[in-house]
Amino acid sequence: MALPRPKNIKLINEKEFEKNAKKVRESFEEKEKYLLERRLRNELNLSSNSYSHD
Amino acid sequence: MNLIYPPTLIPTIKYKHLLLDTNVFRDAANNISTYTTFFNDLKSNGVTLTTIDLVKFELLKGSTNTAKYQATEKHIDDITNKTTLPINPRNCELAYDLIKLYGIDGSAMHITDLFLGTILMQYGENIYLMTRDTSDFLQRIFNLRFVINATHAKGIFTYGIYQYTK
Repeated sequence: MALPRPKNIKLINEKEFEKNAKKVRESFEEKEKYLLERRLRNELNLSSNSYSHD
Repeated sequence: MNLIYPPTLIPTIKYKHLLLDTNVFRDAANNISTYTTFFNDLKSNGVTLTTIDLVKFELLKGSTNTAKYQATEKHIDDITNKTTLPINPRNCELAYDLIKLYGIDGSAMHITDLFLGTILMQYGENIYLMTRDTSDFLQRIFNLRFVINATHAKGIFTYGIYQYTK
């Protein structure tokens, strides 16, 4: 199977790319914060479970 | 931030496809000027920047609203010119082969990396992979053709440029 190629190769416009990337960074930061909180909650649950078995 | 790579990189991958892993898109959102220059140099030299749907899923999942989902989608499209390589039944067959080749080393391999690996196997010398996740691409299976160092304020990121030529 041949590799697909784009019909038009458009170079990246740095200004537009930066403007959009601001929202992308915010989104990634929200996800990282969510995942960190989730991990901490899980660790807390695990450690409180281990106490209950002592 | 600066990207440091051998002068033979671009002539070698000229007119070929460069498959981008999730971390490349993430890093590009944080270092606009450096990556814009790098991607535009590649595009100007006939390199097709591409990815697979699994990478897009990793980037898009968890978006808190439509605007952020669309911004991430645009970010990917601006880099790849909407070129996504399809995953087809052949890739599933190759995934089983790759699992066998990895053996115990495949235990912690992510599914996305598994399928990126199958794309390298499928298209051989016509495609390279750029990834910062260098521990999942074993050099007994994939050829590490180039190393790109990205220097930043707190240290150095290292990307591998891999190819499958067996």
